[in-house]
Amino acid sequence: MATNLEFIKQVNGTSTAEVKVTNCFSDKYDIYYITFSTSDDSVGTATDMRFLTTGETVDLTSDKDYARQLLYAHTSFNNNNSSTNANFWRGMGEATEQGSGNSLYVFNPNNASYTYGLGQSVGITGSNMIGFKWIGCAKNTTQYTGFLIKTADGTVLNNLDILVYGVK
Amino acid sequence: MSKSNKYGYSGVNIPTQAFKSNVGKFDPAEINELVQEDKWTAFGQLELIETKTVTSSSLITFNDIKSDIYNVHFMTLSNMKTARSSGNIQLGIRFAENGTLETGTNYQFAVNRFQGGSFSDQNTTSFSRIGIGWYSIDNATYNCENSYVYFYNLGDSTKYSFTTSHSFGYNYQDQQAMGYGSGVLPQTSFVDQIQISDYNTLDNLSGVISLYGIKEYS
Repeated sequence: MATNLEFIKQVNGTSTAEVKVTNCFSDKYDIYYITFSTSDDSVGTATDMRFLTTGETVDLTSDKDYARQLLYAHTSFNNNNSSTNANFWRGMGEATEQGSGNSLYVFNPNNASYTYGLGQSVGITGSNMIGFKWIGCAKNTTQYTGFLIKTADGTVLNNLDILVYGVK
Repeated sequence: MSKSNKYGYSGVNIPTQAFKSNVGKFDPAEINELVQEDKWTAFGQLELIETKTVTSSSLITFNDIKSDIYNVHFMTLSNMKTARSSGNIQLGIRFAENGTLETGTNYQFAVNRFQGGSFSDQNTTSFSRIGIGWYSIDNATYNCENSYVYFYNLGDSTKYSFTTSHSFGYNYQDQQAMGYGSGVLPQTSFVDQIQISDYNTLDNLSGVISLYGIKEYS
């Protein structure tokens, strides 16, 4: 029987401030791989990830920690972190029409453990490359069923293409 | 194959088959047909494209990366070593666009490198390749680089070609070394080849490199 990466769901969205990916986490997998890309977004906004509980209820509890490093091709790197946040992940939203790339691993979103994550992103800000390295933790035992991607400032995302896989 | 007797159904209402949506009873010939049409549900969406076991090469090129099929590629580089006795061998990536290797200083990358007990920013907006771990190795026994790289949008001629990567190993000073970062060829182009080399392209490298495509379904 084939193992490794198992396709679960693809969701697209454009001209929208958020896109929900529902019913993608279950007790079938402990680890998920998520990749997504976007283009034509506003310059200067970040994108955030939040979790969904049953149905499409958004978890707004401020019990998420994340830390990230911003890797610029043209200037010094920066660090950014937050605790007691509603966002599980804060990544780049700056994406020109030339696109971006994001890969995240989410651990234990649907079992009675804390949910952990790690990932990397890359895109363009202005004419220079920016990369992200990120870790995150949801400090609760909520069994999540999905997630959403949203802009931090309410501006729209365009050409968002999200793919979710289970890691067997 | 008779339309009126397919997938265990008789009559004209034969269900449409698709990945994760197979309905009916299937004989082996029907399964094979659906597999060839990419409509049979089988898991394992990390699809091996090619593995290269390199024994002595200065340039390692993946010529058929199937970028018309995959939007996201994944590469592993295992136990990459050099035959050179002096250091300064640093691995990098170049792309070929429609068969023509981009050799200009048109790549950008940013790597957070750790070696000798400290981190340093390694970044550039104009270089001849995308650096991976970006630490130096020589031919000492345990010097090596082990990496993974994700590639995005290689086959989309309207987008730039991006990478994210993470490497770990031992450097030419026999220290633990690590580097993670991102890279881009900021040109809207169709990339159909990936080349791995050290930045001088003079060195004889060895190791095992595997390239995968991450399959998606709409």
